[in-house]
Amino acid sequence: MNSERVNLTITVNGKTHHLQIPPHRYLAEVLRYDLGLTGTKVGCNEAECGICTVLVNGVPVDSCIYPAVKADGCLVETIEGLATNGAENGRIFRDRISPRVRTSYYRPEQLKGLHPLQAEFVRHGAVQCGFCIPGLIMTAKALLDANPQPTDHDIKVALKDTYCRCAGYPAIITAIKSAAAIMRGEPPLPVTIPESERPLHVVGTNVIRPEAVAKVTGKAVYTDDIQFPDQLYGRTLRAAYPHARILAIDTSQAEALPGVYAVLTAKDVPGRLHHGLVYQDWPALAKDKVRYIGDPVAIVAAETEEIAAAALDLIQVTYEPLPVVDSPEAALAPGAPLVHEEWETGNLLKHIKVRHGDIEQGFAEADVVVSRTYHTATTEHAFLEPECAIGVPAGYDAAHPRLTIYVGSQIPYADRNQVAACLGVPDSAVRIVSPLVGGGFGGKEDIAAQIHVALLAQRTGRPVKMLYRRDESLRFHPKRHATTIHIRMGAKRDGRITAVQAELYGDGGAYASLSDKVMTRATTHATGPYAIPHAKIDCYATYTNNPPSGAFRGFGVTQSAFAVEQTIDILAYELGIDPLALRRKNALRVGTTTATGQTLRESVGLIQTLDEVARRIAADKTPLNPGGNRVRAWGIACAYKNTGLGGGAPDKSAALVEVYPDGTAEIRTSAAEIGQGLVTVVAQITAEELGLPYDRVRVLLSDTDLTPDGGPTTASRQTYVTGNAARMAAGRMREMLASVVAERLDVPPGSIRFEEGLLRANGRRVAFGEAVQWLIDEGREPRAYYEYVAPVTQPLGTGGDMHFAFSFATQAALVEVDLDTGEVHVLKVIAVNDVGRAINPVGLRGQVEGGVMMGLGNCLTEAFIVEKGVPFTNVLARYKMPGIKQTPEIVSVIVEDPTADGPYGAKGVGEISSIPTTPAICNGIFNACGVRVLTLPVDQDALLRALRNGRLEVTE
Amino acid sequence: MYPPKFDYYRASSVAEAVSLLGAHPGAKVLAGGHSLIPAMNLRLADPGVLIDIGRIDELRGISALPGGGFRIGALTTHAMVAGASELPAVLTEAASMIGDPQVRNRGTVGGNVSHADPASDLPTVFMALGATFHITGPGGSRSVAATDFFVDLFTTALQDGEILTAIEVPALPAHTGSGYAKLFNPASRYAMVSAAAVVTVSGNRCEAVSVAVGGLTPKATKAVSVEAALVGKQLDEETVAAAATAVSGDLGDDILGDIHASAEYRRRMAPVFVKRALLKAIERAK
Repeated sequence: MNSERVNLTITVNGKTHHLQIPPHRYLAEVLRYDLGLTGTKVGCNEAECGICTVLVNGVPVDSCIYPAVKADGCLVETIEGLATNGAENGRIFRDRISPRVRTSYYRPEQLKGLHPLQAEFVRHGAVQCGFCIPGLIMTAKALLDANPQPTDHDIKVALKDTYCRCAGYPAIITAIKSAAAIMRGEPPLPVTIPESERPLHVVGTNVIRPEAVAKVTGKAVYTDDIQFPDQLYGRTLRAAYPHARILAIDTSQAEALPGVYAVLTAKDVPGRLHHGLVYQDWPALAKDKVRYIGDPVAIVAAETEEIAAAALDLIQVTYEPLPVVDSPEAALAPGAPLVHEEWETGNLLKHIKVRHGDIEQGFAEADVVVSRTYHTATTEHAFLEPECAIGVPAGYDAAHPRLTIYVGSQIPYADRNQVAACLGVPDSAVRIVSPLVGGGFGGKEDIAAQIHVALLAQRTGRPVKMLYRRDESLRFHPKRHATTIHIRMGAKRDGRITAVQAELYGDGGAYASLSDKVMTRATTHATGPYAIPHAKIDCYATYTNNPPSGAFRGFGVTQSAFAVEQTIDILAYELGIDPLALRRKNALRVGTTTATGQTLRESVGLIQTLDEVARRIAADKTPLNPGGNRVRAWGIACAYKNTGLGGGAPDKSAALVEVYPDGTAEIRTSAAEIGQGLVTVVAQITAEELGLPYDRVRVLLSDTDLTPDGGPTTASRQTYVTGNAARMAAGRMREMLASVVAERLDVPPGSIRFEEGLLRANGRRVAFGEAVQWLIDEGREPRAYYEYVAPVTQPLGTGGDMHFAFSFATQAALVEVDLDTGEVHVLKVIAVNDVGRAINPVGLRGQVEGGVMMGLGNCLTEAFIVEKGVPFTNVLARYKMPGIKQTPEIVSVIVEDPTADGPYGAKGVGEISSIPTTPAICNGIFNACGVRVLTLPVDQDALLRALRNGRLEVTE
Repeated sequence: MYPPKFDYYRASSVAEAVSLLGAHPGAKVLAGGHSLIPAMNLRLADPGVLIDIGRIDELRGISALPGGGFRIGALTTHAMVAGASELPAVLTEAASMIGDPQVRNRGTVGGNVSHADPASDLPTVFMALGATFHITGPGGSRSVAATDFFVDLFTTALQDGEILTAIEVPALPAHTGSGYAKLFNPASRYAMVSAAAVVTVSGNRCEAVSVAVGGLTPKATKAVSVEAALVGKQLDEETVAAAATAVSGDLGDDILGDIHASAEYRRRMAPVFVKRALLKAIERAK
């Protein structure tokens, strides 16, 4: 056979295909791009993440590294083949199919015809962002085909390396066991997650995600699932050095390569060169110098990905390498090379200060003072969907009158404005459409390929797709800040904490991204959720030549909580006070004041979370003496986290509700669904307000032409802010309908009740759809819009309310240390979160379990390693995220201490669920073996050395 | 995502594979592709020509040898080995710890040992079992002992144009048990330290013992000092632990260390995992 084309005959889901393919085409590519079966996802091309799993002759394989030619003559099963209710097979995906997130309302009968695995994944809330779900279900199917009664252990072995970064592993295990039961002819396992303490008709009850069925059948559309018939492929030439001057760029050879349509560099950016969510310091294409190894130098559009890659090799860039600034310490050293010559404070991106009380007095009052220095690692979001964007030029067809960017984005409107600025066109000339997002966690807030595909599409007049490979994703996008934190804490003998002083040094990397905000949050939360009379915190966010640091679930609080919560335990040890009692004594409560001067007036559930954890630990039956050379202990930690942007930033969201004579409603907003469940929450709220059954509400998300701005999906804010927008918009619509119906029925509008799709008054009832028709008959638009503006906040340093709400949490981790090897295992985590109000408890459970798993990874294994500006972590195989085998038993308990302005009292949960896990585990390690780990991630080598040498702390 | 372009040939027999290899210098043999393809994706390998031996059925499967022992075809997958209860426990146990089900369904025993990754599991096991490697090349067939097959880091006794066809493991005597213990790399799950032990007992006395370690040395290494310290001894836990510490003398000076675990840590872990492997083997021998 030759290298050009080989014959391939494969039978996929029962249908036989005869294809001619290049021998180096992978099975995943044949399925996705040649056969249009885009349910099979690709995450890594390394056989690491397992999400591309399909069955070949009945056994699960990683289709992303499986040369398709090896499947010649084989039977292939994909996610599309599982459902018996009309799964499409061999459908070629074209632009005719709307890619935006328009959820059809969920109908219970949708579960009929699904494979039991699909149905039970939906029912048990095992589906979050959904990108991993096809691979998980196919892996699980192979397991159930071979083993009809799998134990938890069997499931963990089978799914060992099939990752879910939303990490709903406990729900996944339950779903698989439930499906197995159905397949054995037994009843499914019930969903046992308790509802809200105060459930309403829809809000507070367990409902199913409207988009979950699409996600389990492979029909859910993510950006790379969209193909235009004549699309070009874009690739990016990135920096050859972490810090270098660009002396010359010669693109002539690349331009001459047949099949190349455009080669662009900084000189081709017609508008503003720089982008950035806070400071515009990040060039869309590097001009005079490169500042990190992910800097884009040139972009190419070509007929195929291969030609685009070949063109990159032909671009000649002449560099003058510069010395590399590789840490905050190096950045702040006298005479350090400057990352941004023009920045007024050199490599100091920002000095952030918290001043509260009189720090000298605070330490003078203390009987005991402890101090430690902590280090946290750079960590990586590892969302399983790599960045992808498609630019469609203005006027391409009737559906694309203006420049359109398809991109899985956390902030569609900011993307629109940043693309427009770089192109030098009005915002209105650009449209952003966000398909579903395969995980974000903060890593999809900054611009990735949006501007590049826009430039290339406009230049070539054809749609251009850029899909980052995993290595490119790893080296390009902003990470969680590595920090060094010095902290000093003083307390009276009775345990009353009198003073906290801290210095934080954050590695902001090459560009500002969200460093200012992230490090501000680290600083303001550096006293922990405690009432501390005297505090002095200084944070130095720095520019370096490492990959930029930005938003990552926890937003700086993850780092400061690691330091504060261990210091609290150290203090408790010195004082001889129980750590839980010490926390309780100092805990924030209503009437106390935070270190930024905010007096808390309501919704402070911290003590309830502490007490609940205490009760649960006391009742726990797990033996604490495992035998062998192993030791076990519990550790606890608390946290608080703001909901919303805060710090004086205007925080608003808009939603539009439209109602229809068929008795349904659609709610529209540009707020991202990144797996967290926003779609469900706004659907529930709309249904609640309009008195409609949940299954009569559709959601349309994230199309800047059709949906109003919901603001960024960050800061655990969407349930609160966009939830309120939906609530108010639906409330307006209710008033409109009530006034029309009141007039016709001649009753006061206030007497009309909205219940189960009916409007009732005085013993009469009108169907919701009929009321809508009356509204339309009066010549009124059946639409209501509301822009919700959250309570005003004040900037740091002004002493006012910096945030409009806080969530609180306590977690306990049962930790086992192997004294022979230094290995640490987490057996159980009790996570108690005060979220104000549980809107969808089953979705909330997923957020909590996923948060705990991310915290566990942050603690024990995850580190994005950069050496002199060059990532060692250039493949997923070098980045260890916890998988199903590391998943402990997770007990989630919800405390509902409502906040007045939140929708039904709700506040955020996305981040708080992750923050206390790391210090809880570290406190557990100390309690188990007497060694305190001050550096993340926990290094078993260093831990063992400390144990052997009788040292009490791990500082390396 | 795509690997570098390559010419593709599918061999239908060992002879054809050898002939294709001869005709295409620099070509690589493609079996399960689970080491080669990721390396090609990362441009760490660009062989230009791949010879797919995946359809040569004679290379696949496990068969009992007439004189005892087993022949494992080079194309036998890790999943097949892990599920072959007739094989020594040390081998099924190690195979079951490779990757995940997807990897075990595709990755092959022959591909694994030919790649000779020092962090791989199977070389250590074959070393402890005293396996024999069968090789076919342009000059005919030959057999090589495990101790000679593994030459160095990513280097085996396979010469250009040769293909590994099968591995034979000898029959284990009565009252013999075997075990495998491994310290997982927290990122890749490859072995940072591994130990394989085969122990024959008589009552509570060690009649014969074979131990090999891997993961921390450039190639799998026989732990002869451990063997010497144990043979003829009563097998109580202290004796086993003491014998395990003798592994330090077998490791040499070239201990691998990386960002995940220092050389010093791995060296310290060697006796821990030798002991664990020995205790498993002894337990199974009884």
